[in-house]
Amino acid sequence: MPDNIKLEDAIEFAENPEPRCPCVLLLDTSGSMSGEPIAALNQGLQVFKEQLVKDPMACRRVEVAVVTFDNEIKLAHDFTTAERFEPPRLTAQGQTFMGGAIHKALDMIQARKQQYRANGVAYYRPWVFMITDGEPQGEPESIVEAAAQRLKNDEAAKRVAFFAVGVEGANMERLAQIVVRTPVKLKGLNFTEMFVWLSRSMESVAHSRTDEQVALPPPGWGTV
Amino acid sequence: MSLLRLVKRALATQPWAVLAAAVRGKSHEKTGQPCQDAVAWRQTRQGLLLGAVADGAGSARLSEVGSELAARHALDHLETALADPATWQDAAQARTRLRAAFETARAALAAEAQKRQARPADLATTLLVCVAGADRLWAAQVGDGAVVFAGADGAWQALTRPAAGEYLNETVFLTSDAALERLQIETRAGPVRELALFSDGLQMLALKMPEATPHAPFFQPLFAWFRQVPDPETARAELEAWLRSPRVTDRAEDDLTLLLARRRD
Repeated sequence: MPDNIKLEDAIEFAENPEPRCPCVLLLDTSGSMSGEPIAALNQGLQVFKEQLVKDPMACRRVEVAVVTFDNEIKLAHDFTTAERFEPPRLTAQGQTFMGGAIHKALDMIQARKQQYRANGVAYYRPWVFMITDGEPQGEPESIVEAAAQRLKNDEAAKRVAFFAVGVEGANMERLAQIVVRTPVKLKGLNFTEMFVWLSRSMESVAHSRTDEQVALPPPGWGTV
Repeated sequence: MSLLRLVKRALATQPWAVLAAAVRGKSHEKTGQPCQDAVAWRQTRQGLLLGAVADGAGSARLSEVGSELAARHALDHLETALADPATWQDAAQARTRLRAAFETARAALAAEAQKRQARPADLATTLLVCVAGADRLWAAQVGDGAVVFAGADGAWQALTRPAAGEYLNETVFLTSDAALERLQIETRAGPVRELALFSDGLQMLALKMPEATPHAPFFQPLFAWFRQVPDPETARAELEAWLRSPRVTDRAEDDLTLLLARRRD
């Protein structure tokens, strides 16, 4: 036994995979978003990336995926850690298949959790962040109703935390019927401030521990 | 003989050498929050070690009050209960006594909350407790962190484990509704040579998850150091310096609390 053991040199740490904090951005790219709104949204995504990579722990732990919905529901970016997130350039066209999009996001979350569990990765409660300037359009009503019901069940079972943001023109009453948490109305096209807030919130989740819902500071970029 | 020397001689005749440290986490330094962890221990006249670690929730505004109260009240209760040697001899008592200690600590938090016109959740904290003798170990825990030990063969094992919720950041606290349903109580019969209690800050470094197996290359050198370190003051300073070193804080931002104990015989 050496006479002077130095703790710093002697102790080795267990190798555990980095915990993950998944976040799906569910973005309305229907025709009404074209022009200024979609440009502002694209810029907001860049800000989101820039903000996340400033926090070393969030950078390793937060996993971002992007799903867009118009007449198509598209995986625009699969889950990657914030450091590898390359914000896609979004274009706007078509109608608003919101119900199908909600199903897609919930499916992705479920599958991601299975992957985490299979690989022994600890994780945080997933977030879905939906942004829309309208209401469900062009889909059978039954799909929207089923999505709303599934969302209620998933929120009650704490499977997901689902946030909705309405841009100018969004039918806030309809949104409130679909999602469980009170939707927030964006002030103007203030996506930059909104994404800064979202990034801060994800950072605080990645650093946090709680036995209840994550309490978020009231957003300065929108109204409830 | 000086008082200090008397105290030192008295300590050296106790069956357990104990070393504990609680340091404020990097994330708490950033936000100006205090260290919300508490650690406490005492040795009874019967030579039993009572130890407690409590980790106050970062999101609760009075959690440093909660953690300190929880640790103290749980140990007070156990010390009184174990004053009767028959309690320790009767293994069937372990469950009842440990559960009562947690009920007492929980009631103390509720009373304190009322006194301060706060909610019990404002004092949210985890709580880990151990009672250790030469040939037996009791442990109980609500929330994350772990109680681990090495027996005669020197192999490290976990007795209680981090409460496994689905999500990493959602644990159960002593003030939670489900606290007593989620209370882990474990006992082990057989020699105990070394043991450690720690809060969640260290668990990803000290345990292989999700099985919560103690990482031997973490504990073996730590106790090799503890066995040869000359006096308690130096030991605590070195342990705290290590907990504040970049190698640790780069991987663990939370408050870090550790209680180490080893048999002197």
